[in-house]
Amino acid sequence: MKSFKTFILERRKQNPLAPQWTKSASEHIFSGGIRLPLGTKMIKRVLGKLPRMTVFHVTNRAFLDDMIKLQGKKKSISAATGFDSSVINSGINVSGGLVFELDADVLISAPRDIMSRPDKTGRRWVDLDDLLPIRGSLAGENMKLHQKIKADSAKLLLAIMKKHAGSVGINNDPDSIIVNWSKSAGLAAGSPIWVENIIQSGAPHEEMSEKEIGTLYQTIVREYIDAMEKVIRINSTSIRDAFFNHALSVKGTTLGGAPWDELVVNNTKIKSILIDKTSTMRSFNFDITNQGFVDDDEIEPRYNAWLADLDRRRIPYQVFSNHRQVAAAVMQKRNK
Amino acid sequence: MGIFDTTAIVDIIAKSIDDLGTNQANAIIEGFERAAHILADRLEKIEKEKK
Repeated sequence: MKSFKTFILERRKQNPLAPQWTKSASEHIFSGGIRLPLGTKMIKRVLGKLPRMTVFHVTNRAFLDDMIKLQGKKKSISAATGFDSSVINSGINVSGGLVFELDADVLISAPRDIMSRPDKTGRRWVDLDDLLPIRGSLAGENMKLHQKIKADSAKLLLAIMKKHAGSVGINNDPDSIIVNWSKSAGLAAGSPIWVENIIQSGAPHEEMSEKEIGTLYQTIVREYIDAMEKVIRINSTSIRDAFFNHALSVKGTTLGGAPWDELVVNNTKIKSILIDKTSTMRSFNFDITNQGFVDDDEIEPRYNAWLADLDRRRIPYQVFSNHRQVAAAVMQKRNK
Repeated sequence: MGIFDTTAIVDIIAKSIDDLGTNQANAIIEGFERAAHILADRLEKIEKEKK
């Protein structure tokens, strides 16, 4: 049985830099329903100028340099305008202790966590089913919009299938659609679609080569992303409202019971770091470089040396004695 | 818009898709997704066989 210390050591040796939810683009796209990409260029192209505002990102001192390097970059991160105090020290995807106050461009905003997820290229995705309820309940006009976006998406996906297969019979059965898609391709050697043969192993058809499958797969991923841009463009007024309404109306409001709201942002500029002294100092009980625990009397000097390094690097910061004070300061700034 | 001229294709197929119901739209979305998974799984299998 592992000792607690061994368990902690092993946990800390894991790569802390990979954001939670990082998956390949294909897993994001083809994973239950419609997913919308949140690429910066695309969002700007379709929805126009992005709102720029003050937001907050909870993380810990291990990510200080990453946050500094991220400034001005297109890569997006998840941020908020307020937090329940427990989030300040526990963190969201990694442990907390530091809250970065940022000026940033907003790609999407919502009064609650909408589980936006980055793929390996850094592009974030949001589920249609998570997006639309942020405008209220998924009923009435919201439900109509939800169905319209699905119908618009289905048209474009059908267009992609037709492009590759020529014609596709449509009914209410996904399996039939897959088979029709492959059948319509003619099942000739070298056909770009050979899905049926893959489903029904042993079918008397030549299989697609690895190159053909790879090319087809990459093509439909690209086409899916283009199709979703088209869907956002077609519904731009409603989607702009869904993406930005929270960001534009957040001042003077409360979290309404949510532990945090969510804003996906990029092009960040660090205004200040709000430091929860208690949890940040506690993090100095472990030496990441030497993978070992630190004696109690060394913790505070190490913490003070770290603060001195922030001073030396002219990184603005404010120290608060605990997570509750940090959360209160964030809410004050939110409503300024 | 990449290599895929969605505008032209949507124009071409719009008439035939006008009558699609919600169930059909859902089936197309799910069918497309599952076909893509089949291709992805096949690619992964080929990669594993190589190794």
